[in-house]
Amino acid sequence: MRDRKVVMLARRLIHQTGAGHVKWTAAVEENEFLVSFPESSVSISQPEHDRYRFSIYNDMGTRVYSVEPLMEDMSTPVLWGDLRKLYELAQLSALNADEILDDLLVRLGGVS
Amino acid sequence: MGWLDDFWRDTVAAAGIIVSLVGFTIAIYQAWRSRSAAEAVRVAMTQNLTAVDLERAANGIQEIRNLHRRGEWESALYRYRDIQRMLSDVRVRHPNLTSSQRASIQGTIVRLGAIDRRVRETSQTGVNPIESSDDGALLKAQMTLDDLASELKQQV
Repeated sequence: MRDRKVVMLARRLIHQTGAGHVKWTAAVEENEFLVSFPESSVSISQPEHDRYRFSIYNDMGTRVYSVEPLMEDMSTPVLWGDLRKLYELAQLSALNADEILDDLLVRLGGVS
Repeated sequence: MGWLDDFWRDTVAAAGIIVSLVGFTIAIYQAWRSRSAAEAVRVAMTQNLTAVDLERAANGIQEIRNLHRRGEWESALYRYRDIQRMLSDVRVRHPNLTSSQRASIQGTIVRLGAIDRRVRETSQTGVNPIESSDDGALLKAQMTLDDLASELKQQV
């Protein structure tokens, strides 16, 4: 049940991040990105190559839930794929990749 | 000339009613204005108190940075939890904060928790537990709170 909710949450975050409605920032740990809401936060990190950790924090900053599915684990391939996608989007959001791309396109607009 | 007496009596009565109505309207308007003014003062005071609380938390982070620089890890570790609680209280006590301001405070609480965990883990190894990136993260948290405080003061 909880895993299904996590998949739902990850997919909503993918959608909202892709649409630019959710803004991620770099967290304290390397390769970790954080998005905060008024009473909770979510982070996605890549502790190792092809491993993703998805964590939820409460209003006191305590990690209340964390999941780190393995790619080879056949019970969690959907979640693993979603987290990989979310990690990529969160990284682009935190690094302001879209804004930089737009700026470059404007600057180089005259060149074909 | 009885009809003339009646005319003047009715006129005076009507004028009296009009004057009363005007007076009543003015009284309502003044009460509404003073209530609006009192409400504006109350909102301004609340905003100012919130800003002061956020500045206190930002000063607390500066204290932590100073303790880290002096190598007083144990004292610093106590302060992390204090500031997290202080920030959590700010959200509860100041419902005037916007959703985005509350989210900024939440992000700061999580960041402080992450640095606290890292310092706790590494301080047990005897190695200098604070890295320059941690001080950068603390500085960022401090600046976030200072910016929020300034934003609230500007709204007053």
